[in-house]
Amino acid sequence: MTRIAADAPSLAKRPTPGRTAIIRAGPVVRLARVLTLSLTLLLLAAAAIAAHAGGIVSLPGRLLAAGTATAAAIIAIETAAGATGFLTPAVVAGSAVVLAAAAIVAGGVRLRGRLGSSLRDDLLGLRAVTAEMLRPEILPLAIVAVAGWSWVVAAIRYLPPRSVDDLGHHLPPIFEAAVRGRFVILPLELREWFAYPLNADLLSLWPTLLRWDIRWTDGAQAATALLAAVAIVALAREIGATRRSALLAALAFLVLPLTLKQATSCYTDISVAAFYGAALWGALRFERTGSTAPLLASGMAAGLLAGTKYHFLLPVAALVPLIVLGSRHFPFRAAAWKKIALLFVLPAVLLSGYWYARNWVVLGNPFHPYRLGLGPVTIFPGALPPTEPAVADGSIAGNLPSNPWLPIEVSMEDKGAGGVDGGLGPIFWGLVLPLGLWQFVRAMGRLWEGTRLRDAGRLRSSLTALQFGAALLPYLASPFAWYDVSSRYLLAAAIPGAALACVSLDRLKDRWPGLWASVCCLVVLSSALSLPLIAGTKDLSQRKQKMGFGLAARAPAFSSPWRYVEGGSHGTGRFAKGWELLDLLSDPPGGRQRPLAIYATGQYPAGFYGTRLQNRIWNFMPASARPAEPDVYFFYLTIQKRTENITYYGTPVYRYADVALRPDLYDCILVTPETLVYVRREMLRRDADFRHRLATCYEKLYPEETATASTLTPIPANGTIVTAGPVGLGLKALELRGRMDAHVAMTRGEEIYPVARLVRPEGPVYFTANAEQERQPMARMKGTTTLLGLFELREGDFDPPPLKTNPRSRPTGSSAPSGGQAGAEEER
Amino acid sequence: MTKRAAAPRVPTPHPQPTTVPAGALVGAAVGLAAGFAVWALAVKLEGSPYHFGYPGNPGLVMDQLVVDQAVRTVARRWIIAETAGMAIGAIAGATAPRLAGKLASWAVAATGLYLLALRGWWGYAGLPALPDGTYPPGIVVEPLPAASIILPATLSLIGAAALFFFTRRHDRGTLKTTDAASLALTHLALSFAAAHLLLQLPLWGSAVEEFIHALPDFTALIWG
Repeated sequence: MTRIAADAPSLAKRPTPGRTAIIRAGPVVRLARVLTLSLTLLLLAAAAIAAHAGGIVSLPGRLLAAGTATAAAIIAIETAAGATGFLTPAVVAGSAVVLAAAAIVAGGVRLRGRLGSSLRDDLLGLRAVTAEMLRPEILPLAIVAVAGWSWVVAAIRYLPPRSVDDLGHHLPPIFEAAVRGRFVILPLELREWFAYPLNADLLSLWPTLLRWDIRWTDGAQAATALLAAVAIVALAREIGATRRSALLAALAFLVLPLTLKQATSCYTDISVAAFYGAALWGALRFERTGSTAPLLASGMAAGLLAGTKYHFLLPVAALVPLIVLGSRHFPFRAAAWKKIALLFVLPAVLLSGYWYARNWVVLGNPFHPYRLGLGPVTIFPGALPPTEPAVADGSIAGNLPSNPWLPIEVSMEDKGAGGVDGGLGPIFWGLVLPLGLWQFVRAMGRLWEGTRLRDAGRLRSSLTALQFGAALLPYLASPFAWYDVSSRYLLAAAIPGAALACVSLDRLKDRWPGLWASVCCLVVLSSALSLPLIAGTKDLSQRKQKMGFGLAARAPAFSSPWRYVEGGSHGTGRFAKGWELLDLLSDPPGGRQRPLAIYATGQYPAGFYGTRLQNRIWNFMPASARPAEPDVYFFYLTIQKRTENITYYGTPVYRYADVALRPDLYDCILVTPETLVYVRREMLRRDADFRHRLATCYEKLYPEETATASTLTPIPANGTIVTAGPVGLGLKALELRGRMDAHVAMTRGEEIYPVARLVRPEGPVYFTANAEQERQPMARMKGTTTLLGLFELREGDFDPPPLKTNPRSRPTGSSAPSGGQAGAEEER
Repeated sequence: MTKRAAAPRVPTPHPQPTTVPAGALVGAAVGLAAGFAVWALAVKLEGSPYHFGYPGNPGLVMDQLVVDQAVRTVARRWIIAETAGMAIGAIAGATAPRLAGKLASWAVAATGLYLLALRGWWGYAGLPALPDGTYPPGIVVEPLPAASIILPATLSLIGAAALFFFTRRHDRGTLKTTDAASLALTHLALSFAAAHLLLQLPLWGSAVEEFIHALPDFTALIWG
């Protein structure tokens, strides 16, 4: 286990081709890329056989147990490989095959020829489900679900990860683990959450590692959404609901606004809901029958849950009474405890213990960054400062008495709707939550009655309904400062809530068929009407995930998926152009891969790795393994475009000013309003391949600018063209292609004069502006709409004009460089 | 406890004796639906956003408190309307338990009134008003068209009528207190859900343009 600290460059070591090239070349990887889905299905089939062998009689139960076991196998393999430094596609794929083979052999031996009849049972069960799909209330919902999920799958297939938390803290540890072959804790100065348990995130690592690209990285939650839907059916059937209402509830879950939005992201809330549903079903089944296979499924799911989010330890703890009650099925208490320890506690600890142990050993607190204590007694101190709102404001539950309107605001506003943060919709807020709470309150009474009468039946139904209350605890225990965005934690409560609602719905159908029809209509209507939310919303421009299907559909051969991000949440879209350039520079379509070591800044490190994980974040690499100097320097100035707002990963090694104001050492290769990308000038001068790649990118990505620049006549023989305008990319392409001897120094508007002064000793300095000036241009270019000129800066031109000057009121004869300080003011 | 007289033509849905609590609960159910209808028709939709967003323009920072306050106001009105409707309905149902059978049919039919939530489709999902009551430049808040009342009202009446006839044909059960309680409770949940739907529809509707815009691209992508 290593932790990366911010440190200065130390070794004069040239960048190696990197792991990527080696890994990509291997035959195992080529095979694994083809077999990613097959490998998953193989594990699923093996787990299904094991579930049959374990004696799980219901089809949804078997599917749920098999899905849980598959997730557990994937996560266990990756955890073991990541912790020991063997996290490679070959090791992971090989381990999965061995594990699946072992499960198939063991299950086959146990079934002893009953495998065929078991599979026939499954097929019969699926046929019954298909028949139910034609019911009048289910068919329209199924159509809505098919439409929504086609959209989801297309987004996963064509668009890169683009949600704020994906790029900010879910994916960077995953990508870094893949490229390093082991788990590392990324700089906690950037995100305290880098030391979070990663169980659910490891499901995103599975396609990433096996395919060695980020195309299907977002697909993990789509799979666990199906698992969560199965959990609802299994749970509802377990507590006596009909197949019909269980299917309705499962479909309604699949088209919840939050489910549809999050299914295309690497958030973990859907996975958590699925794990919780599996843990609850297994515990309940064990309590009812004493069967050990569900107990094992529950233990695995509890481990997956505990290894994903700390505060889900609370609902896991609430399962214990169910498990204890299940022990009554065993004639000897000792045997019962042994089975519980072996099948529930051990898998739970094995599947979650690594993260807690790692944090305890490396960071001194298994619950980093949170404080653990009982009242004033602190067991493990937290890493968050006491002034941090997440700490200072206390929990949501603690603030409820002083904010009685909070539940109404959270539910009626459905904060986060339209984004991946929330959007549970009226079915959850209006039906599932109130009815679940009603059942919970009634269960409290029945629990007392059941305990008094020693009635196991009453106790069981009460304990089931009480789980709904337990599922609310993670939200109530969350920091009050995040009460709005944390409402997504309630998704786990939707699983038992929906199952309980199914029972109510069945009773309603028997007694009040008209009322039942009204409820079904509301479910179908609100599901259908909420469907457009998946396209993004008009007002939530910072949170929405705009699906750039148009760009993807019209994508030229030379393109990166980052181009399809028209607008990401919290400004992630503004990175896209920089990431696109770096992606295509290092892995051009049809070209040879060339890894880049990137000095990265900003809040979203995930995008720097490239779509095929070909690049390395120089700041994250250990000093002994990284090159002395990065190849690329990427600065993100935020939407405010202020250099003071740059987020450095740890202690800044290269500050923006150190790079931007050293045109002798660094060349700017891209300027957008918020981002600047630099390369080492020495590398650009000596490396013909890199020059060719960069020029090709400019020509393919910005054809209008290169076309404008190609009309430049006469071409300056020496000196420097200082420019902040877009035509700079075209001029740079001319220089890179060797068609112009003058050097092009791109910069942002604010630094245009300082840079001009710095390059002055190297010869004449030019700037670009509209050709219609009093001053005669040295050369002209024909733009698409205007005639541009290249003007030489004179002695008095090197000082910036006063800030108050409005460029619109300036006379036509003005010769201020375009994109200068005044221009930048106007842009703001 | 009184025995109902036989209905002249159509068999009564609930021929069994009805208790006072059952009557009160059925009455409360009808009152809940009526209360929702009053609330839904009175909700201010033009220029009142019930969702908090982050507009892209940093010069126009949406005030979360304004949205919260708007939601509190409509929530308070919903509580008042439903409490009043429930109380009036309960009193009416309790004082005339003989009518409980008919009221039960009406209560089921009244669920059609929750379709008034579709009014939210015409709601406003833009920026909230500034503290002085004006809107940021470029935002024009127009009065709602008549269709925002006529269409949802028509749909809800059609739904109610369909449910009424459906219930009279299919519902022959005995009206027990527990049945009446489930009726009232379901109405409460439906009213709450419909209120959410009404308030969330403006946001959902604001995504329709984007959705329709993306559909051809999506189709092109899927079909190559």
